[in-house]
Amino acid sequence: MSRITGPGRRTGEHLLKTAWRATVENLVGRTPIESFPYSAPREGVLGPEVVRSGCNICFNSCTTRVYRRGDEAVTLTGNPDDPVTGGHLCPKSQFLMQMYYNEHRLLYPQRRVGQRGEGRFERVSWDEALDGIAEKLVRVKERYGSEALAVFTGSRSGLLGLDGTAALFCQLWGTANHSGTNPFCGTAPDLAFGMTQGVEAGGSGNIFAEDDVWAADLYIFLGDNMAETRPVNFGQLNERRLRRGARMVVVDPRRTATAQKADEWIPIRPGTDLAFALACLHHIFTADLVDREFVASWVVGHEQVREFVLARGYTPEWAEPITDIPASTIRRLAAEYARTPHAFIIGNRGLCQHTNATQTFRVLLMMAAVTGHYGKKGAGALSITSAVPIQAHAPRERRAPRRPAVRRSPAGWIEAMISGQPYPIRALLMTGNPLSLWPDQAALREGLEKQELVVHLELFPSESSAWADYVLPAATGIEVGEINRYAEDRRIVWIEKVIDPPGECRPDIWVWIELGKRLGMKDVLKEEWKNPVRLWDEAMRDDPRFRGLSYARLKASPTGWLRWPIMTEDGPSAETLFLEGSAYPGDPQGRRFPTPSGKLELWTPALEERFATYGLSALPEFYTEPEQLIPLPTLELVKGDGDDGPPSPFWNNRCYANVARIVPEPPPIDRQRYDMELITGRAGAMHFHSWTHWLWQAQEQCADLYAHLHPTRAAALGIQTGDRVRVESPRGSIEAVAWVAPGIRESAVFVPLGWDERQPYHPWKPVNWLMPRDQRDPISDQTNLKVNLCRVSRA
Amino acid sequence: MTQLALMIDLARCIGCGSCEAACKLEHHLGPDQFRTRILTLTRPDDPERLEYVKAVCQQCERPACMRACGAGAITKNERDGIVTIDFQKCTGCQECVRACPYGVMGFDPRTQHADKCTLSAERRAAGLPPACVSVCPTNALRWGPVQDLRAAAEKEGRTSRDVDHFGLTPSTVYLGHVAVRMN
Repeated sequence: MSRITGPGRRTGEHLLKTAWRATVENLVGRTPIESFPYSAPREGVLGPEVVRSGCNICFNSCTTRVYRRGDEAVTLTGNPDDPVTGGHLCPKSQFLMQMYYNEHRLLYPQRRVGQRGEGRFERVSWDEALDGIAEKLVRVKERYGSEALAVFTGSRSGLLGLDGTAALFCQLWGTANHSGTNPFCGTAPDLAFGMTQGVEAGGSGNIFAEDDVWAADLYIFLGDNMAETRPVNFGQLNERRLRRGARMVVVDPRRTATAQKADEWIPIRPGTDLAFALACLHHIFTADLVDREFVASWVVGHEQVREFVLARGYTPEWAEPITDIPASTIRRLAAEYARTPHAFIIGNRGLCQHTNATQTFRVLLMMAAVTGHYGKKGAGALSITSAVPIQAHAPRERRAPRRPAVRRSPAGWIEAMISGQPYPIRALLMTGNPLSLWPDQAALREGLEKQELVVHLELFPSESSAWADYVLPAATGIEVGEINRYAEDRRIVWIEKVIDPPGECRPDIWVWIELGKRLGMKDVLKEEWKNPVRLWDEAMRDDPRFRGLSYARLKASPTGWLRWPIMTEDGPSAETLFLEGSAYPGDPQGRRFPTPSGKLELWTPALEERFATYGLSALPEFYTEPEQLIPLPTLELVKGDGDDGPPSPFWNNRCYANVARIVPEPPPIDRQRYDMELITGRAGAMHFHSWTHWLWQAQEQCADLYAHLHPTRAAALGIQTGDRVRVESPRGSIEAVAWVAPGIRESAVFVPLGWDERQPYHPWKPVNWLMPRDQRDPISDQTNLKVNLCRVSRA
Repeated sequence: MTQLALMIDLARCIGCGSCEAACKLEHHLGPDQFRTRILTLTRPDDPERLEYVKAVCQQCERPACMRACGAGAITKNERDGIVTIDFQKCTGCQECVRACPYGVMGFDPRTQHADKCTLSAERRAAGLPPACVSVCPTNALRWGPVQDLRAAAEKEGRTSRDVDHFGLTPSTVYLGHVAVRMN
């Protein structure tokens, strides 16, 4: 087959010629392990022994069947007993064999011998590495205090690593500078749900079932490319939609794969979803589309919001020039949503990665609340939250005192790494690939130069490894045994261990326990918790909503998952939450919504007081990003990353926050030079962040960093598909391969995330060199990664 | 003969590439070796929109590949109509690759022989559906006797797209797009 199309796909060059190029020889302690042996003869169709397990690449939590012969996994399939996935899988799960049997895997601990960033290492034993790290940590603590250690765990580490052993380590060591990927992912919907319905974890309470999420007559997606980010969950939803004849509308600057399937695509100006939602709310109030009975019984603060939205004049006409959406369209959609009893708004990462993220989600929840689309089957406002109430706690007397974290987001740690303000970070233990995925890559490297210790624990040698003093080989997924969760649906999957890890690879939990042993923590970071089953059952299920989710019960579940809350060991699994007449599981006062008032809270004096800490109001005033093609209100920082900042009330004062004010005009920027909107997102269904870039088949489906341009704009720039283009922002410049196709605003260019300079097949400088680190939502601390101005030219 | 075929629903396909992945995992195909792949194309009814088309053997009634093969390595299976390559006879000349107007004849660059979709013959023999059908996240793929597939499409009120541009009478069915209008 010769014809090749699609973004990032290579046309002229065969992967065979590049597939085994070894640019990373120094880093890999090389005993050759062939990537999943294609063309190998096989015995039978499937392996003789089947183990129910799961995919750990993303958070869709697809259950799998892994087939084993002897000590080896031979293939895997979906799990037909899973009623949510229906046994279907996306491409990533099917690349797992290439992850477990991969010639690029790190196999031994290594210690840096060259300069930082040079990537020269020598092989050492685990003892040498861990002893060396422990000794350095003690020195950093003596000189700068315990909080000078920052710990970042990427999603590959899993929740047992992140909220289990790494959390215990940080509690005992005395640093609050510990984060997973949440602040880049979904802390804004977490907080919005928490403020509105009284509980942040678990999202809207709706579940993926025939009579709930699959049963609507209207789906409005905002900033959510569900088809490429949750292919199985989207496919199963869309199947029901087509059978029912339900309408689907996608509001997105790009006509994503999701929008290609939709009945209507609305190309909004990126970063202005808050204006769209406010105008919808205005129309709902003025056109008498409010569900008065529901509001009277179950909503507080709607009068204040209504007065505010009307007084500000947030009309559809006001929103039209801001959003680039005709006022008539806004009215029509608002009315259609309000009048369709079974309707969902689905907003995700396109809304999260903005400075107005928390307020945008709050206004979507307000829309759902005032139209009565809340606490019902087949109606609601969905978003994938990050929060899951899984957490290991050290005994109180063993916890070291901790200063608030310098900031909630690792993007806010960079200042402390560089300037030592508000207090210094001088050691960074990291998993994942920050040198691909954190914003402001130039500043991050400057910060790394100042560190006295940098440790990287991962599967593959990446740009992040090259900057580390110690590179440690990790094990993952079916080599370990761990959990996964689909937070939008409250599903928890146990990923059963099937094979042993290669070489000297070790699970994250093993590494933290061994490091803890060297620092006097073995009474808490117990040896027996190297067994993930015991860690899960004994340390991580304190929350009453997880009492029934024991390993034994997860293992016995025919679907491969359980849906929390399950309040007792043999109690029933919860279904749709917040239904009329029900009480939130475990709520001592038996309230439907576990807020102080027992109702949905759109505005309260207490909320107003908390927002004031950040210099903002709980009433949703419109603002957007500073870099837009037209000047729009934006945030100006009163206290930024270098300042102490107030302790952040929405994070239990466990971190400092930025303080900002809304100003009518953004700071000046040369719009003649930077004349296009740079938007980012996932490359496609084949990639997840950066780790799929070491899997050859994902490379085959999307090799190159690409820049999606509209044909009209591309013609004006003299650019054709396949041309090398330069994308510049005030922060730097990168190159990519042009993909010219319809389905994007003419004023925008889309560049996906996830590449880095040392990936083995097709290394590219990542788009995050162009992203600012100081454009963050003061409340959720989410970073704007979704719209910045740039200039595109032929390279 | 009962002609077996795939039915590919363009209204459902999101171009995720899961079928490509399943095919390669099941048949142990290496880099640059394809029995199916996803093409991203502009829609014939709307040039502003894209569609995702699974390119795969059409299991033609009069296969161009079969006519082009000088070694007699390609036959049409008498029982199920699946166009099949005999690897022992294949010389690797690639005449079939050039002859297929749908561009869906694959080639194994290491063992140097032509390679193509068999609707997962080994899986079917074990009572399992073709690999691609079993994983497709969007239920865009169905398989079975072609007349059953066409009857099912008609019952659902779906129209299939005419892809017989070359007079080979392809069996693979492509269902067109649908739109839900506002009431």
